[in-house]
Amino acid sequence: MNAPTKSPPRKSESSRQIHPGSTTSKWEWVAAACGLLLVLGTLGYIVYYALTTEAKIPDITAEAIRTEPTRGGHVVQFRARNHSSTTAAGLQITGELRQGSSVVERSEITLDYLPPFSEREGGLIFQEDPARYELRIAPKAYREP
Amino acid sequence: MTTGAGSRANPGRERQFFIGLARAFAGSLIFALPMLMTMEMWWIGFWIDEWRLVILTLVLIPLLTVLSRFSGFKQTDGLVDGIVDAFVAIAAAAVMAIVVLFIFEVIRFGMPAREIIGKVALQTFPGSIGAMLARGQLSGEQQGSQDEEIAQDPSYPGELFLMGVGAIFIGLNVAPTEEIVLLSYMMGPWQVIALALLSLILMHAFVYAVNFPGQPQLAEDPGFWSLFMRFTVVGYAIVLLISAYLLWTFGRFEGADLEEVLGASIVLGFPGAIGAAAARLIL
Repeated sequence: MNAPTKSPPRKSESSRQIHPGSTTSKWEWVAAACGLLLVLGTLGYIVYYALTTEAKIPDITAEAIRTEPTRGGHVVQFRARNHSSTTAAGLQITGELRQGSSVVERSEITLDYLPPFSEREGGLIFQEDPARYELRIAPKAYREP
Repeated sequence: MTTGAGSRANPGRERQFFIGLARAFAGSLIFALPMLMTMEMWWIGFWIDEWRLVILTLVLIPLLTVLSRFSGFKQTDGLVDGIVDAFVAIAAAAVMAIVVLFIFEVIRFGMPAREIIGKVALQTFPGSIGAMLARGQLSGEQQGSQDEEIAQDPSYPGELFLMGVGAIFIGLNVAPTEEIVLLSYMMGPWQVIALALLSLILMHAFVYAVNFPGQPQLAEDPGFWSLFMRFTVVGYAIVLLISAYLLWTFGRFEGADLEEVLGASIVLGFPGAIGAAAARLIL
C-alpha cells in the first residue's frame, strides 16, 4: 500500500485539529482511538494472563447453597467453582445422601462447561429429605474441551 | 465516502462519519449475529488458547486495513486512513458484541475478566469485518463512486484478497460449530475427495459467472485454463488455508493427525469456497 502519502491526519491526531484537506473527522479519530484502546487492552490482558497463569488441571469445588422442598422432591442448589485456569467440560457432579457408610440416595448432573475461575449453579433433586441425612456434593469427572 | 467530502465543512464531514458509524453497527450486527447466537462461539471464548486469540486479534488489523481499500467508510487512499477505518470498525464491533452478549446474559457482571474478554474479542473478529463491509455495502447513494471502481475491478492480488474475505464471511458462520469436525468423521475418504471436487466445480462456475456477464472486463476471453488456474485453484488453496487457520484457532485440531486436519479443512472449505467464489457478488 502507498504508505506515507497521508501524513497530515497523523499530526491531527495529537493536536486534535483537523486540517482542511483531511477527510478524517474529529469523531472518527475518537472512535478509532476507542478501537485502538480496546485492542491494546485485550492484547495486554490476554498476554498478561497467558504469561502469569499456569495451565493446570481443573481445580473444582462444589458446595450446597440451599435446600428447598418442591413437589418433585427436595431441590439442593449447589455452586461449582473452578479455581484453575483450565476449563472443565462435561463436568459431572454427584450428590449423595448418606447415613453412616451407606448411600441412601444419589443424584447426578453434568455441567457442559465450567470455565476458568468461574462458577456455575445447578440443582440436585432428592426424594428423601437431605436434612435427615448427611449431604455430600462432589465433582466426579470432566473431560478436556 | 466521496472524494468531495474533504473540501466540505466540518459538520458535513462529521455527519457523514456518524452515518458511516451507524452503518458499521448495522453491518457488524448482520454479519456477527449468527455467531453471537452460536453457543460454541461463547465456549470457545473462554477455552481458546490465549496466544491464538492474540494472533487472531493481530491478524484482524491488517485484514481490516486492506479491506478498507475496497469498502471503507470513505474512499481511503492512504495507509493511515485505512488503519483509522480498521480501528473504528473494531470499536463498533466490540461495542455491539458487548451490548448483545450482555443482553443475552452470555456475559455478566462477576464473570472473570478472561471469560468476558475472550467472548467479546472472539465476536469482534466477525463483527468488525461486517462493520467494514457494511460501509461499502449499505451505502446506497455513494455507490458508483471511486470505491465502486476499486471494488469492481481490483488487481489480481486484490481479487484473491476479496476471495479470502468471502471465504471468511461464509466460513466463520459454521467454523466454530462441532458439526464441521463431526462431518469429517462421518465422511469416508472418497466422500471427502468428492466434496473437494464439488467445491472446485462450484467455485469455478461462480468465478466464470462473475467474470463475464455485464462487466466490461477483459477484452478477450481469458480461456478456461487461465481462469481455472489463476482464480479457482489458487482461490481454493486460499480457502483451505483459511479454513485450516480458523479451525486451528478454534482448537479443533487438538490431537488430530494430518488426515483429520485435511478432512475438516475440506469440509469447512465447502462453504468457504462458495463464499470466496461469490465474493464479488456478496461483498
